[in-house]
Parts: sequence; C-alpha cells; structure tokens
Amino acid sequence: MSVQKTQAWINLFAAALPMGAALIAGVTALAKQEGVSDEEINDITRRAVADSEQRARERDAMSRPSADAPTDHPPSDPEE
Amino acid sequence: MKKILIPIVLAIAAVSCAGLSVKQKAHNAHMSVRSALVAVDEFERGMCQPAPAAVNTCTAKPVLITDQQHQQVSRLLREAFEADARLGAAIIAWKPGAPVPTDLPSLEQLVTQLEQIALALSPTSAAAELITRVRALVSAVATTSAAFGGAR
Repeated sequence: MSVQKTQAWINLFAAALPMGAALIAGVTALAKQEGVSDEEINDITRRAVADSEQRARERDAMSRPSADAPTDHPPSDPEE
Repeated sequence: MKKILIPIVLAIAAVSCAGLSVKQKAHNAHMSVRSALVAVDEFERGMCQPAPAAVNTCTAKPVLITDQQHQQVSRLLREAFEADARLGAAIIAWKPGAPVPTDLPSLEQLVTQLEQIALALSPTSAAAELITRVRALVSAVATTSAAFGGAR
C-alpha cells in the first residue's frame, strides 16, 4: 500500500471518529428517553392533572365579574 | 466519508425516534402544553397581581391589564386547565388505536381566543411577553394535536 493510500485511510478514520462519538451519544440519549415506563408517565400525568385542577379552581374565582366580588376563599356549596 | 456518515446518523436517529411509543410522544407533547399553559398563568398573575380579598381584580400599578381583561383571561385559563386535566386523564387511559381526545380541538380554540385577548392589551413590554408566551402555548397545543393525530 502506498503512503498516499495509508494517509487517505488515516484521514477517513479521523473524520469518522467524531461522527461515531456523536452517534453513540445520540443513541444513548434516545435509549434513556425510551426508558420511561407507562407507569412513570401515568404518575407524572396524575400529578399534572391535580395541579391543573387546582389552577382551574383558582382561575374560576378570578374569572367572575367584578359585581360578584369574589374572594380567595372557596365558594360555599349551595347544596349544603 | 462524512457525506456517507451523516445520512447514516440521521437514519439511525429517525429509526430511534420512531421507536418511542405513541403514548411517550403524546406525554412529551402534553408536558410541553402544560408548561406553556403554566407559564401564561404565572405571567398573567404577575401582570395583574390579584387582590387577595377580591382575586378577580388587579392591584398592579401601573395597570398592565384591566380587571375585565383579567377576568376574560381567567375564564379561558380555567377552561384550558380543565381541558388540560381531561387531556391528562385521556393520556393515562390512552391505548394504541384510540381516537384523538375530544378536548384537543377545544384547547386549540381556547388558546386562539387567549391570543386575541393578549393582542388587544395595551402595547407594553409585559403585553409583548404575554403574547410570546401565549404563542408558545398555541404552538405546543398544535404539536400535541399532531402527536395524537399520528397515533391514529
């Protein structure tokens, strides 16, 4: 093999090294992302739902027309 | 060599993404909707600074948002958080092949209305920031719709 061919192969491997490292990093990151189980998703989502419901209640009090003069106290239940 | 490797890397990445479950994709998109929704919620509260004794009125000086606008935004945010909660419940119960949750179109309508109110605010830097956050929300809702749509 000529010196030129050897040099060409060295250049090719040098160029491939960073690409290979990026590939391994990317696949590892994706593998971690895929690692979230359905149960974990459900747990996170349950907490998110509870927070959204709380914020909805707070925004309900904020959305009333000024004449209603609401307070930050929860409204009394008319059925009580 | 680089010309050969780049398509290979992209192809492997695409295959790996396709490997994510639809539920995982929908969950990721839903989380982005929630964080955008919470960002709008928090920022509007900061603009208004609701009175503790009458949370439907604002105390911020100078006035960045009127009481009426605060009430309109709050009504839409209440409905959006309710829709978001139902969407979350749908994701928990979601199974492959299930239809798109019906709350997605309503959420899209709500955030569009929210954008209209934000655009009608007096032009201040705070209003511009609110518009930016609402638009991020609009974008996140559209992404979530696409995530669920791809599941069909």
